[in-house]
Amino acid sequence: MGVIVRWFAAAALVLGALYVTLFRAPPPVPESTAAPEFSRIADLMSRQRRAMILWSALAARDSALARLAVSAVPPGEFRIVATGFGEGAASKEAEAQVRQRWRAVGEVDSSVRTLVLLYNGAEFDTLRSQVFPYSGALLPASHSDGTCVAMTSGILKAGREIDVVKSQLELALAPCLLRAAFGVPGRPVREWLERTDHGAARSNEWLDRPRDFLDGDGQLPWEPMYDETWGSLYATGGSSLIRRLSTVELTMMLAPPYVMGGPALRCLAGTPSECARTVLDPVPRVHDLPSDLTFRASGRGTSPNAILAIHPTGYWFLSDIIRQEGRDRFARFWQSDRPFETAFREAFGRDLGEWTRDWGIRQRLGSWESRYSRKPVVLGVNLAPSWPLLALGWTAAALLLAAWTARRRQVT
Amino acid sequence: MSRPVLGILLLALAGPAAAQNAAAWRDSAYRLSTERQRVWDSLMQDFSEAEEIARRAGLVVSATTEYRAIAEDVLGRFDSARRRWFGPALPAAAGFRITLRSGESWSFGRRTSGPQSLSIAGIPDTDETFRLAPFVPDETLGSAEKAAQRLLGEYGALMMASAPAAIRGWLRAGSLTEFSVDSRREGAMYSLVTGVGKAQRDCVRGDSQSCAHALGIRRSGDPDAGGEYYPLVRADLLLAALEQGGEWAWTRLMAVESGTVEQALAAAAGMPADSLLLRWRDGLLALQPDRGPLDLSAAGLILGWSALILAAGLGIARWV
Repeated sequence: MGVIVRWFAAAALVLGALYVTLFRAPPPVPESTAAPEFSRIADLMSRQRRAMILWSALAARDSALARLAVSAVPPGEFRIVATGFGEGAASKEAEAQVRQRWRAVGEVDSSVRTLVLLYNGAEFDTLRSQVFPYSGALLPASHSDGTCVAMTSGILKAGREIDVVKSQLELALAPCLLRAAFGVPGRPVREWLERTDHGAARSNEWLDRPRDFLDGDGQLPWEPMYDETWGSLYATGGSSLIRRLSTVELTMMLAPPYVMGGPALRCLAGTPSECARTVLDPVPRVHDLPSDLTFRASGRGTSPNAILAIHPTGYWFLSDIIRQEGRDRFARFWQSDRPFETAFREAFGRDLGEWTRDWGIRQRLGSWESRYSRKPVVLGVNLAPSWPLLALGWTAAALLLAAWTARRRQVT
Repeated sequence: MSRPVLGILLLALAGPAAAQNAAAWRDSAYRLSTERQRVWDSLMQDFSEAEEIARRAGLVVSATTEYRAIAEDVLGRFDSARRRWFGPALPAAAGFRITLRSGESWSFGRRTSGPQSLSIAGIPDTDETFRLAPFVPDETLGSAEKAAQRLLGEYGALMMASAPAAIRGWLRAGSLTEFSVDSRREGAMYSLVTGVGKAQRDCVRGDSQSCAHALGIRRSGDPDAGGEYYPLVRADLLLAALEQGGEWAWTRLMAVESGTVEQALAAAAGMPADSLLLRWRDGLLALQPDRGPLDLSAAGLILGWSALILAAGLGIARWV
């Protein structure tokens, strides 16, 4: 036995020497004396962005309301107007995009009036805030006839052509296209949309994508939070051995996807009531915009309790319901005056929680994140009873083998 | 005071919410922007502590305390590499200035040390000159070699900005000299020998017309010719042309203002484009590794350790 111990000790010595030689830690980095101005600049930039978005949103809203006051939009049609660009400016690109979407809607609800407002973003651009000015929809309470104004900014180019960002125009159009196709929503859906800031109704893929198309560009089904724990570990944390053994990556791959928040995890693990909560719960408004404007830059992503909080569903959630269940059934749900969950069950024949769980699992399996992590989400103790028995059995077998070998070698 | 009266009083006192006023937010946005610029300007003054360290061939290197030791070496390396491709040419008559700034890592909020800088300027370095001041990780300025390479990458971007439009459009890359010579040559060689398109395979076999197609210089009439190489490979060809052409290659390239890419490359290299393409191809093929990734000593080491562990496990020697 003593020989075996000596052999292991020698091997450990050699491996230790190899580790010290090959993986020795780099010299320590001097402690921070960084200029506090950087934090100040970051803070000012963040506040400037917020101010710019609010300014652009409110200015666009004022323009839209002024426009609606002097000229009504005929029901069942759309109008595109440009404001702040001077005479003769227009956007062929935006017009083609709206027209294409309008055609895809098909039979338009005759009670809905749609205005597309392109406002001049040049002044907002001069501040170099590195974010787009406001893009979203105005649903004026004073116009209970189903008026919807899609508002986005544009920049004037040569030939009086207005250049718009396609994705921003899509974002602005989304609430209006839903109304054009399905009419003014019933009270429960309307209140839900307001409560959740239209967060789940920002995709127009339901217009032309097939049923099996996976929307969301590989994003997680519930809005992930920004967690700097992993980033810090990469940058500073752990010894060189930990880094070289890819411990951080292994942990990330094995850990449940906490970034989507606790309720989403419980939903994926099989609790439908948690799934329903993630759809129904209100999302705090990021900006103090009037409630008739739709907008959400991000939800819970950076709040301190993000890991426990409900994270909102992906922006394509409503669009997926339409594609999965069909327009007719969705119209029944959309226009129903019954409570939200009852209306959902009556229209689609399934509970909201169950439907959302299946949707969440499918979306997560198609996400980029799931390629590098455990596929099924299993919470709590997840070691099957047979595994400890197996491990103990093999350990006992190894010990017995070693003892038997040592006994045979004893010199009497 | 009764509850209804209090409610009426509160309603009467409440004015319009500040958040609903576009003009107020506009003023706020401008005020914050001005303040941000002021803080930024004050921060930039920290770099005025940089002192001139050395001059060489119309270039001046300046550095703050931490980088003074490597400054002269950086200047030497930068100037040699710059002359290799661009000769004495500058991005503009007014000169240029590239300042590498470190001391603040924006990733994950990690900070290391106070602001430090190392800059290279091309005389006359007037106020109208090109100025770049990227933030770089501390590691970039950890050695003269890395610092010179980063400066060269930025310099390549400045030079490309002044290149003829045809060349800029063809290259499809911001900088000519973003990568070290070894990385670039190795990447280009790998792309050349592993390309699967018909023109790419024919180029490896020595057909200059196919090389011209795969590099986007001439269009092939063959509909099955396949795709083109990455921008890195194009950058390698352009740098090869500049090296072939000698000190005034860049000047000749700039002179072909309205010509085609092929004409510009031929002018820079001082030889017909087909000759340049074949020389460039030969140079890359010569870089192919001539041995496998596992050499004899590594294999011997692996076998030795395996044998030792096996011997110990079987108890062959008495001492184990």
